[in-house]
Amino acid sequence: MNERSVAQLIVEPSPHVTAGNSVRGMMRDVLVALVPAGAGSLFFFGWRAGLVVAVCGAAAVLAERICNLLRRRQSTVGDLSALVTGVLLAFTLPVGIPLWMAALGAAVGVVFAKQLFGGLGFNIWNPALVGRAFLQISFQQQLSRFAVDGVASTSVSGVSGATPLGILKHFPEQAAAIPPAPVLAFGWHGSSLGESSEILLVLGFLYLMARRQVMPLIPLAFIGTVVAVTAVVAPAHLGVYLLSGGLFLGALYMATDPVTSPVSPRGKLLFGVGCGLLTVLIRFWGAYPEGVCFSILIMNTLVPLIDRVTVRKPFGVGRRAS
Amino acid sequence: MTASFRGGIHPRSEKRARLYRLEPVQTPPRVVLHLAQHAGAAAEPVVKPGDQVLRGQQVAKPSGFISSAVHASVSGTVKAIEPWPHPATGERLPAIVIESDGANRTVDAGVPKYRDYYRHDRAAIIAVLQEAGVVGLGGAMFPTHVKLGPPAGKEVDVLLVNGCECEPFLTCDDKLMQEDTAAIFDGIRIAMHVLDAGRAVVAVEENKPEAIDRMRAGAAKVANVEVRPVPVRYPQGAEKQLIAQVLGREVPSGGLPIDVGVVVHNVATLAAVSRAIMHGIPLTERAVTITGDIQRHGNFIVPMGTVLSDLVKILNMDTAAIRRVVFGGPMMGVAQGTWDVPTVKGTSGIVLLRAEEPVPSGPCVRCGKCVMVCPMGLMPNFLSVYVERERWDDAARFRPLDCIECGCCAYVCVSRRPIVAQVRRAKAILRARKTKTT
Repeated sequence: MNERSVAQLIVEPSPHVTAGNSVRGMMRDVLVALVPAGAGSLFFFGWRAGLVVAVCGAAAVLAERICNLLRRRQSTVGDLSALVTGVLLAFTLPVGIPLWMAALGAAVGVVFAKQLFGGLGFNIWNPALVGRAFLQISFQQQLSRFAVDGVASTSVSGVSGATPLGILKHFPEQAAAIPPAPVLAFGWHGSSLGESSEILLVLGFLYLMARRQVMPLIPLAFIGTVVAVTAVVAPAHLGVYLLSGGLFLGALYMATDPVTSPVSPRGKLLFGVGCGLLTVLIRFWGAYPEGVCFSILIMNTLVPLIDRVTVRKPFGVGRRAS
Repeated sequence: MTASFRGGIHPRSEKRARLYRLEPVQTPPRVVLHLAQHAGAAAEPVVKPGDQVLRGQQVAKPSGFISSAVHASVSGTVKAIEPWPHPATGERLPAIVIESDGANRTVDAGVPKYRDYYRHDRAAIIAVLQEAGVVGLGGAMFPTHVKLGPPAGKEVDVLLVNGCECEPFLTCDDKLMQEDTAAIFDGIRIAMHVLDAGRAVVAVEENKPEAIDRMRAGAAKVANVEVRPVPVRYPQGAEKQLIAQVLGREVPSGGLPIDVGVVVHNVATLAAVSRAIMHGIPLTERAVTITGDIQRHGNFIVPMGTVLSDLVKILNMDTAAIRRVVFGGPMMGVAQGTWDVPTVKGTSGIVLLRAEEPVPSGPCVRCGKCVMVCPMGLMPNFLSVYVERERWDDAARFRPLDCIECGCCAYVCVSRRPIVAQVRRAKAILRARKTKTT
């Protein structure tokens, strides 16, 4: 009828309405979910915790932007995934880490684990954990110095700087110095920044579930496997193994990274169980006191295989036409 | 039985047009009748430019068994047989253009009236339906006489009557169930007779309480017909999902409802069956929901082939802000590139949206939301990625041919990927391959 409106009609394939979901919205929800644990880290470790988070976040975003420019792509900073990587990396670091080291870890994670693979969606390994693994291997000493402002160092006096898992690994005779389970769950103990309070981490995860951004399959399988094996191997310290390491941070926020975990529900279960088994393997029989980081990275590697063997059976397949 | 299907979504219902009763529109100045208004072979014109035609007169005849007739929906003069945009494909396809004389003189179309349908056998009745141009009005436009004449050896025990209307925005079936209940039940009885089906189940989504009440009142007068309210969940009205929900039967992959003893008909189709068989009235008009970002919502009885630009004028609508025109519902409907597009028999709704600019799509982040909502149990994320990389063998492993194109995956996608369009592409390529190898 009139030429103007004819030219203006937008033709796109169906559907013509959407739920309005976006990567940015998903990442924003993750950041919100991390707020309680982040606030907890300020409370437990003091203002420097905030500084480490800010430096890691800024370094990750800057690294992402520079990669965008080098690859002549539009900025992907706005999808917030780099910021999430930075914050998650900070959560795995001890509060006393030199800031340049923290920044380096964030940049390594973003550049080598993500951008070199093609950016968000194409990476095989969780970028934050690659950053963490890089730091752990390169700067072993600084990464295991968990000296903290006041509280935790006094409660684990004599082995100032060791986490409860470190105590069990290297100074088992001092196990009595480890705080009781409720204190561990609350977060009052030596640990990296964001992993200390299981209560606050779970709180954030419940928010993510309420926002329908994540399913609890991987965390349940992961934590469940760790609990089951630990109950057999070290029943006396079950609470410590459950509540004092990086288990909840890793199971709730790292292993659930959609890009680097399986897609199907069965695949997620398999992945979670694998993470749990590798974690206890490293904890009890490996060189490190904690195995969450490396177990997730190893399982990340297996995701394409898991995806291949966990294809869902579609509706109506296997039924014979009469 | 409390069976169900996996997945599905709960889009905002947006059924504002439910407040408006069915209302005939003024006769349009012209109608454009596509020869392809049904699945199968296009109809063959039996008129030529210059001919005078009456409303209800056949202007194109079926060209095979899987084909159907087309009738003039106004009285007037045949102006041309020429290509027009088709609302289902966007292509320009041949159509008969009739200029209305405004008189709406109606012919007794010559379709026999079988008020005593139960004295007539299947062959006689399906012949009438084909001549009357009755096709599936739910949107797929599959010729109704074909579905009512299943091949020998296929037993039907249940007629499933689809009154779900699970698409957002659409309300015409809801209104039809309330206002044309008797015709629907006549259609149900005819279909049960023809199919020799022992019982019928009418499925209506729970968000249509008035329709459920009216249909229950209607069902009380007919033996072996039950009205079953079903949960509100898109795509509840999709054949395979509805059968799973109501009967707990799983239609095999690549199969049809008849493979599990079921035939599904939409309520509007059954009303059209009753008009054709009981009253000899061919299919020349239908209820169309017109709604969206406009002031004048409604459920209008629209002559087939009414051109949208004419319709907008007749209804005196302000469409200045409209940027998207969708024929059908917003989940499965087709966006139109022009206002000069005629309605066809499957046009259940016209949704006019102001709508934002298209959002660019991003790489898949494997969030798995599409997997959780897919009612066919597919993994749309892998299909999407493999189509993007044109890796057809890998795409085939994820069974694109099982996809019903309901759009749940794209609806929830955080990267706004055009998954449905990608799956359609995979289907086309794989089908072409199949025919090449056989």
